[in-house]
Amino acid sequence: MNINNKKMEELIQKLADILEVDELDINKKFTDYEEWDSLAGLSLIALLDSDYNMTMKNKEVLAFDSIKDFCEAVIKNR
Amino acid sequence: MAFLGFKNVRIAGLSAAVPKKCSIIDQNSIGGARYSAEEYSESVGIYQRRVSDTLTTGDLCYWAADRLIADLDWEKKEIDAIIFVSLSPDFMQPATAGLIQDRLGLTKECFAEDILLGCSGWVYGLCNAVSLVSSGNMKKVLLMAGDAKFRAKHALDPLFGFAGTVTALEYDESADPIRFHMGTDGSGFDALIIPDGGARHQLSVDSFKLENVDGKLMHRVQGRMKGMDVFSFGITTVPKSFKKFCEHFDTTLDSFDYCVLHQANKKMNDAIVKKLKFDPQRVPYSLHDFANTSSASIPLTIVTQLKCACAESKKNIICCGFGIGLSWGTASFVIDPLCHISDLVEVDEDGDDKIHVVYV
Repeated sequence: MNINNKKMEELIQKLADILEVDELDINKKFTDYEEWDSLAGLSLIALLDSDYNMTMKNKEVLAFDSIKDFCEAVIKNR
Repeated sequence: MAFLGFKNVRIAGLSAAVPKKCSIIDQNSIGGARYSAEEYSESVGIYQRRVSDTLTTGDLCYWAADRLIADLDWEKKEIDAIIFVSLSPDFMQPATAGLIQDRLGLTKECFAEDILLGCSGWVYGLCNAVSLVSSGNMKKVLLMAGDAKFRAKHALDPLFGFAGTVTALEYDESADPIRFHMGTDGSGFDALIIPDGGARHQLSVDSFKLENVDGKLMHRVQGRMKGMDVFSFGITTVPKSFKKFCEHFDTTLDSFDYCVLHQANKKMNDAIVKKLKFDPQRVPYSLHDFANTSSASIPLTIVTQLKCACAESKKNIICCGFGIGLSWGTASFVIDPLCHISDLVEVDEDGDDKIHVVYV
């Protein structure tokens, strides 16, 4: 497994924890999840800051067509 | 670079007033949210707050000032200035500072002004007030800061509570310096905003039509917030401001006894403290009982959480106010046992201003 795949898996697990779901369908959008709310949003921003040293605006997060696209952008940016 | 340092000013006293009426955070107060009240409180750190149907920021600051002036035994004629910081003034115009000058019975030889700032407002107001005193031109100045009853009726956001505070400043050549680092990013003007009611979008019948804003029904004279954007602003800007402050003034965060942060919400403040690597034991919170009280939050936290500690020995404090504007300010100052911290003032619903009422 290449290093980016591993990073990707880690990030997906962290997002699943934030959304409190066992398995995350990365082809979905954040807003497709019923669990996505303002508190989950804050957790996501905190995660980006603490683990990936980056910031994103609400609009930018929601502009991704899928959670997969979001994750790829985060890993690339790191 | 907005670094400022002032000599010859001591913080002579602090007081805070809140409505007597307490509102517990329950399912009703968080509206149609998907999460439970318990989850909300645990995450945001707010369990109850003080609210009122009648009391304005002017009222709360009046009662806080009334108590502090009595406790300090200051002569009213000696008070040279009032600086009033709020986003919810008593009237659209005139300035509330003038109404309080009259209600308190201060001399007409009084410098009085309003400053329209929120979460960063106490630090900005302190910088203004301290600059008036530092030169020796003024000897005694009152800084008032807070937010309470809103401009228009709407459901209360559980994040916010009402409070008015007074900080008394006095000319004293033996005082430790008071230092500041201030910043502004107006490109984030709409991260926290009341769209209508200013000259840009005038008040109209349409202003009160309810619209769906992120799943909540709101009118346009109601504050709206891009929570995630404010959150990322806070956790990045505040640590940077502390770092710049420490570099510029050649000090370390660790040299301060307490770090008092604007009480934004627990998740945000905890994230900031973690980034600062500052001992959490020395970061007091008042959020749990009073919620986010805008420009009142830093002095309210000192009054309710640090009164005993500051009465024991001299304390070096660093603080940061940050939020709406977007605007932020970091300041350091000393509170010693000579500084009088009044007991929290609780105001009845009929404590409103009965003098300055406009009858049609």
